[in-house]
Amino acid sequence: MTGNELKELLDTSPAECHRRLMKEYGRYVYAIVFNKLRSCGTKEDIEECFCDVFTDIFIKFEYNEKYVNDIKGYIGTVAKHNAIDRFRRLSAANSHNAYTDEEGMAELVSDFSVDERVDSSELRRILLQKIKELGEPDTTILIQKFYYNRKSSEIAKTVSMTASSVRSRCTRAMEKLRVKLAEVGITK
Amino acid sequence: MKKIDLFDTFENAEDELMEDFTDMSPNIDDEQFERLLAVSERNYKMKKKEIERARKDNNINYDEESVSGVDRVKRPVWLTPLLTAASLVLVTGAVIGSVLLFNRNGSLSDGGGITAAVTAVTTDKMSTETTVKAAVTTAARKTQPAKTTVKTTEKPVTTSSNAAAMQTQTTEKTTAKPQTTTTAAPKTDSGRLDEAAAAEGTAFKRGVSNGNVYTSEFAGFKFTAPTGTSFLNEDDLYTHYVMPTRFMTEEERNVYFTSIDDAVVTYANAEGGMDVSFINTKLRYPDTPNISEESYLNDYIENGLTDTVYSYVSGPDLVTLGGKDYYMIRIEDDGYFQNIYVRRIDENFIIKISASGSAIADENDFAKRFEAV
Repeated sequence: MTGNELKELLDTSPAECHRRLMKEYGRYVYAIVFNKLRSCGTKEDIEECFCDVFTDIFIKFEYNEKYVNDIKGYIGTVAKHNAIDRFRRLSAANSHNAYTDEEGMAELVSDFSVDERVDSSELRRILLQKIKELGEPDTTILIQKFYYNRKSSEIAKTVSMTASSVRSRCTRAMEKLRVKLAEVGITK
Repeated sequence: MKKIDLFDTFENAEDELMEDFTDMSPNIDDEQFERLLAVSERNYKMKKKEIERARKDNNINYDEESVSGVDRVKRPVWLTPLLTAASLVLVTGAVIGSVLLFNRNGSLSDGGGITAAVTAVTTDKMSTETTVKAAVTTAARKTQPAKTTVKTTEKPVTTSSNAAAMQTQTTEKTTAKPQTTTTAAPKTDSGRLDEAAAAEGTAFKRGVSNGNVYTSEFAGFKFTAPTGTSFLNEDDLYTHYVMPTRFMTEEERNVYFTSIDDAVVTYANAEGGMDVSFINTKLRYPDTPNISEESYLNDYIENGLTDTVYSYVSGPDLVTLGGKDYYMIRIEDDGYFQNIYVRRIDENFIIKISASGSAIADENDFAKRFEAV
């Protein structure tokens, strides 16, 4: 739905408009919030921040016409600001890594070596490209397992596999990724 | 060469990568979606009210027509000396009057003054009422202490701070109908919502957490967690207790508040932990207030595990902790085990001890950490 269509819906049914907004941009907001808070927030922190973002969006969407034209850009900005703010508060209060590897697979992705001259941005781009080259469902499995810290049983529902299949597939995909990364100088 | 963790490099990624991470993000399932939408809607309505109120106030201030300009007034020349003379007369009169008054009544220290008003506020933490007594004393008369009873209906306070123990907590749910009076207006002197109502009129006494040692005279044991761990302090325990209520319905809260969280300890790296709570069975099970430990565990298995990731494994078994017998069941999630130990303390309470992960990796070691007191 476009911003104008959502605005029209807001006039007739605010609740429905909010539902559509969250349905359409929920995962986008979640991805942004998670990206900022994955190292310091718990699942509850992330959900709380997610709700704060949508509360702000509902309010601003109602009171500020200017956001109607670029609603996605606006939502991204609100999400980023909220997440950064929350990150600072969480880091100041109690820095802790809320996610633990419950399946003993953390060593698969740690201790890779890379040239110090490669900057983070370039490294991210290369890594994502190599992960995508693995194809589906391996790409989704690796990202959800190691980036979103999902359990194999949770990922299994997304990719219609059993949890044990996800685990073995994950191990094999990491092996393939290791070979691909070695070709571009990222070694273990 | 520098060492990296592959997926940590994605933190603080550029905006353009967010599209990819959105596509690969986990789906928000229906239950989670409805829950998050409900919270956002509630917050939105509260904020909107504030905005509307502020707007209304502003309208009152700004909608009135204003007049600007300078109005020149010329005062008569004789007005200033006259006002000065009048002021002098007034001040002199006041001084003379005061001196005469002192001479006639003696000094203030003889009891003719006014004693400062004293207000004593006593608040019983376990009570739902606050009593305020005020007494004002003068030389001429004493007023009777005024007694005011204040009742509040505080809403649950939510907080964003977290205890690591939340990671392993299974929030207990039950279909039992508690008496509505249990959570009608629970509060403490700090205005916090808590389990005070569940303890009211019972012999319940909070345990003491000190570092890695928790002692409960009420339950009759002392538990020593491994060195380097620490039981939550009062504030963190409160946070731990209230956090799960954020997404609960009123009915779920009523049930939840029939239990009292008394101690929580998380083992290093949050890979295990133990917590102690007391369930007021009279409030939670008004039809079967003397519910047995086994029946309680059955209810826990049938209803308490609903909506959690845990599943029943075995039990109830009879085990001994600190010289007392407990009924114990084992539950599990993907290889992560949790034991629930319960024992009836008195006619009101059943104690529930949940221990998980590394805390029960060696059940004999866990049992040895209990001492009778």
